[in-house]
Amino acid sequence: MSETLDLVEETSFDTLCSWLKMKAKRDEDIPLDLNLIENKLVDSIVFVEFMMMLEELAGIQLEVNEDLLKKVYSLQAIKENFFQ
Amino acid sequence: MDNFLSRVRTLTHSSIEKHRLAFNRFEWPEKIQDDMWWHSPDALSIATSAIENDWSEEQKMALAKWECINIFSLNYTGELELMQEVSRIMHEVKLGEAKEYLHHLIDEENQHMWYFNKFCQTYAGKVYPSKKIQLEKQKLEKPMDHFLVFARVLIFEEIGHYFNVVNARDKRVEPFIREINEAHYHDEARHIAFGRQVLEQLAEDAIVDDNAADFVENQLDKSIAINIGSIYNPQAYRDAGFPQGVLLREKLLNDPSRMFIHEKKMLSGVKRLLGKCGLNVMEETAA
Ligand SMILES: [Fe+2]
Ligand SMILES: [Fe+2]
Repeated sequence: MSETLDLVEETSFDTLCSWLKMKAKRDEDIPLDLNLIENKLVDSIVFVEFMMMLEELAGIQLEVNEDLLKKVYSLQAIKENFFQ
Repeated sequence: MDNFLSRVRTLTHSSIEKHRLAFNRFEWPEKIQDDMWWHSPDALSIATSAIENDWSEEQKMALAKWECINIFSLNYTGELELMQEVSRIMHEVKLGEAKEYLHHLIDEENQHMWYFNKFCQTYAGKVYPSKKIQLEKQKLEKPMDHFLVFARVLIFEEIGHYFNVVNARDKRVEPFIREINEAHYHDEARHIAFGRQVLEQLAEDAIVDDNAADFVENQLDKSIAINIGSIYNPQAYRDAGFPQGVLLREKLLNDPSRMFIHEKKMLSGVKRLLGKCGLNVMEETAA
């Protein structure tokens, strides 16, 4: 049971990673620990879309504020906070 | 300045005479039935798009409910931001005695926030949270800061006004919802008139050279994109029964007929006014 669940969640997280890679026009995979905001992978507009994608894939609703930024600054942080 | 002041004086009188206290104004129904139009079919985010005809009447009605909640939520969260921003600068902004109007603006927005929030909570059990955030924070000169605050307010209000107008006019829309749209419409017509006057007034000190103009155009194009984008809420699509909300959103944002509505129906007033201030926004899409 838990194994299948992990599998489903892993897939959604991968989808999010490839979506971001496409949006940021990157040829290589985005390192999990890269700070997405400081390194300007997302600007305010892409950030909105990114959060919408995260909501859809993780099945959650998010309020965007300074606290949220601490949870979504890297793919690793997103994985820990929303896909585990 | 004299002309400006006398126009704002008229608006101030009008706010005192015509604004009706919202807190005891409406008869709030206990429930709003799902088989009513909560939002005009013409105001739906799929209206006139290439995919509109794929949707049945029932599906459109379901979407209308959640898009009503989305637009009312955007009003609520946007008005909160407006009040925060206008309050932040109201002591310093160079508007002379026209500053008096800012008290009416904040007073009225406070009441709008009250009814939009109450509506969403009472009839849908939630407000859609805002997705707006400023990631690139810059320290700006005051005239530029003040101009941008009022320009963003105008963009937000003119887009909201489009929905007020379409919903207030459409007899198919549920009567209480029409009444709210109509009440909001009357107050907003004054705010927009004020905002247009203010921007022309503040432009001279803010847009000092071509660099400043480029900077403002860039900032406002982003604000426009974010405000237009927020009309297409994937969570509202999911609530209406369409699981792939993000995909649908992207399709609609790129639909030529929807882009036409953004430019010609929602933002033509903004574009014209900013043009008067020597600014060109929405350039790439305007062709
Ligand atoms: Fe308002
Ligand atoms: Fe307003």
